Amino acid sequence: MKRTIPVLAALGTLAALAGLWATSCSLDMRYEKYAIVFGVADYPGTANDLSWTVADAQAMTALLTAQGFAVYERTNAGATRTELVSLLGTVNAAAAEEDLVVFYFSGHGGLGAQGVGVIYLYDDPIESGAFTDRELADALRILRPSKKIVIIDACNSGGFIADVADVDGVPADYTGTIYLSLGKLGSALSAYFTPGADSDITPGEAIVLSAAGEREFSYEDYSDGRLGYSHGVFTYYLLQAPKRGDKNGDGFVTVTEAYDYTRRMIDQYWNSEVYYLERFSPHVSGGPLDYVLFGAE
Amino acid sequence: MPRKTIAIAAAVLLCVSLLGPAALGAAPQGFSTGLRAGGGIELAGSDPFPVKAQAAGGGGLYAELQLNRWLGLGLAAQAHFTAPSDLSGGFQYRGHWGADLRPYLSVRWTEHSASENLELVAGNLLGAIARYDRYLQTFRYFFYMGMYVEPYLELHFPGGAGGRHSLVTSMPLDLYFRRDLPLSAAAGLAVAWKLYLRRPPTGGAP
Repeated sequence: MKRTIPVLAALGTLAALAGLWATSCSLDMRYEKYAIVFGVADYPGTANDLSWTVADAQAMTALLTAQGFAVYERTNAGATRTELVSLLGTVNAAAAEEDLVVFYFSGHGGLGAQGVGVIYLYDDPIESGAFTDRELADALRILRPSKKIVIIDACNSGGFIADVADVDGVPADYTGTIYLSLGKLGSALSAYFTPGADSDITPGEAIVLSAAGEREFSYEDYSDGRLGYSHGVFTYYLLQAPKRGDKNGDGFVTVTEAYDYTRRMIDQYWNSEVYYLERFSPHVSGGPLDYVLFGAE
Repeated sequence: MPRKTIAIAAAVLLCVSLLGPAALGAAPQGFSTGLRAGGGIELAGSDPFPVKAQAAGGGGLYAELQLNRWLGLGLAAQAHFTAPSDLSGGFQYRGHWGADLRPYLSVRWTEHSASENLELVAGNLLGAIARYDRYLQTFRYFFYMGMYVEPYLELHFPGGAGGRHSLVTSMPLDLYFRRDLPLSAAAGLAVAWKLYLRRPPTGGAP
């Protein structure tokens, strides 16, 4: 009997700690929020112009401003590589480690040499060069804040997401089928035992929320807005996330919740209406961390 | 799993543990199988983010072969769930769920007999963990391994012709080796119902 007393004491202590923990949590949300919002619709020349990407950026700016972000918005000829690096420096000078930085881009994206994910800022020639995922990761690395979110509404934007310790069950060219759990077990085992180098943005560098997979397009409304979106389809639903994306009702919409909401809405209202080759699905970084993106409205 | 539920479950387990020593005796041997369920907290930490707690729970089946009076080998197959942490500081550790396999070695510390039919056994499990999980609200899958120790108290009840039952209360302490999370560990309380499929030989010393 005497030998059981220490064990029982340990059990009792643990039960008491569990009870204390259950009632002692409170939220501390005191930190500053910064956002750099880029939208390019009017590329040099006329062949590559888009219809709603500047509207996407402006709507995102309005939303983030209302959410308490300090927003730096640049569109069209102002959305250059030089300006992005300059703004990152500006934000870094003002921000502290506990702060949050969001980079949002709406415009053209693609796959560059060796399948590297790229976005096209205003001064990136679409034929010969673009801003790569690695360049963006390097630019973000100088930032002091530990919480960084990258949101890209562009074709092939899933190419910015690195699969480091986990694997994505949503295919890079989504047509309506998501892999079942056991279908990714082999890849997950490989990621654990033989992790490979990845030039994409890792979860430790930033959490990336992309409009589309690495091998698919994202879509926007026609120029006359006949589909009723008057935005990029992904951004249209992302803008709704503060009102409708708080799945667990805790008053906040995390990146993962925003991903979950946009994915479900695009599947329900876009993918069900279009030819299967025009279906697409958002993707999100893996990793153990998730950041608050919006306050629920 | 709601924290209130965990607190209640912990209190119930504590009561069961306190009632256990009422009967003491020798343990039966042989092949056994059973069901187990438990809950607790999981700790996650990834620099520069502070450590946070996550509620966790799970349950499943296990089978065990008692090799001799003191040693046994077993295998548990479980489903588990880890809730997201709180959002303080504007971040959280993601919740996840999945399945795990736990091969283990069971070592009995002591046996106490109080009567012909009731006995209490104290011991410890030492094992490995292989987990395959998915982050909540995503389709991102990951695999990781770990190890655990689980001190237990097992109360054996009188057996019938079909076998002999026991109730086990235990305190699993898990340490996970994740590629994406430098600190990942869990502690909790568990209960199990166990059925010994073969009656112990009669006439021997307890």
